[in-house]
Amino acid sequence: MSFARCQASVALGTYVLGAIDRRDRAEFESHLVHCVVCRDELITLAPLPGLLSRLTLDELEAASVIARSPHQGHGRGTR
Amino acid sequence: MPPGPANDDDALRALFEQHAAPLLTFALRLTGGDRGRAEDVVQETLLRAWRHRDALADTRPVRPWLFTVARNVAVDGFRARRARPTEVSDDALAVLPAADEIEQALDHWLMLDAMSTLSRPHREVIAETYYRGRSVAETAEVLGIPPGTVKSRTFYALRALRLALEERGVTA
Repeated sequence: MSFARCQASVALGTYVLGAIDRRDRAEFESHLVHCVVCRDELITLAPLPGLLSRLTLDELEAASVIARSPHQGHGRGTR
Repeated sequence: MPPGPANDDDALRALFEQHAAPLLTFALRLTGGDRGRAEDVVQETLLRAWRHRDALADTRPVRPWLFTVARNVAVDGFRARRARPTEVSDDALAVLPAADEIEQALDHWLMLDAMSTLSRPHREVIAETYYRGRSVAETAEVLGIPPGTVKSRTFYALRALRLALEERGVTA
């Protein structure tokens, strides 16, 4: 595994999945404007949410890829 | 690759030894566990690789190419059987999915397979952030890890997923 060449890049994961906190998002978007390392990385990760949307949480749980949550989730993937 | 029948034999044997087993595992999923058809897919895939061996010599790594070919061979197989009504009854034809649906089913399976190769911590953060729609703070609380770890783990989880998809010939 190669490691990030910009320390801020780790925010990209939660950023593309929409989980990043609002304040962090604003801060990270300002960073993206001038960081070519993060922008390049963003391009490679950006298609993943669309690919993840082909699976539902129910299917992933049924296939034991994801453990059933003891908490009631109301998130995506239960379409 | 040096010419000559002896070298050709060695190269063909090497191709089978290196790739036949993982390709069969992959093909079995593509054919829904039908071993006969899976073996046909593997044979056809390796045969095509053999025909293109000169071009393939410059392709590294070879396996994503093989998986892509296997996937296409499997799709062609689905279509060929659909086009030959002598092999299936009308009832069976009626329930067979359309070509697009077959593609979707294969993509669907490839995604599931790629996800299953991720480590459990990686699968967990994707489950909480994406599928359960939780924020970084909520995910940190549910999983009992610091928010910073949620962030970095999600990032490396997505990188691992991207790599797993690339290995399966899925290039976004």
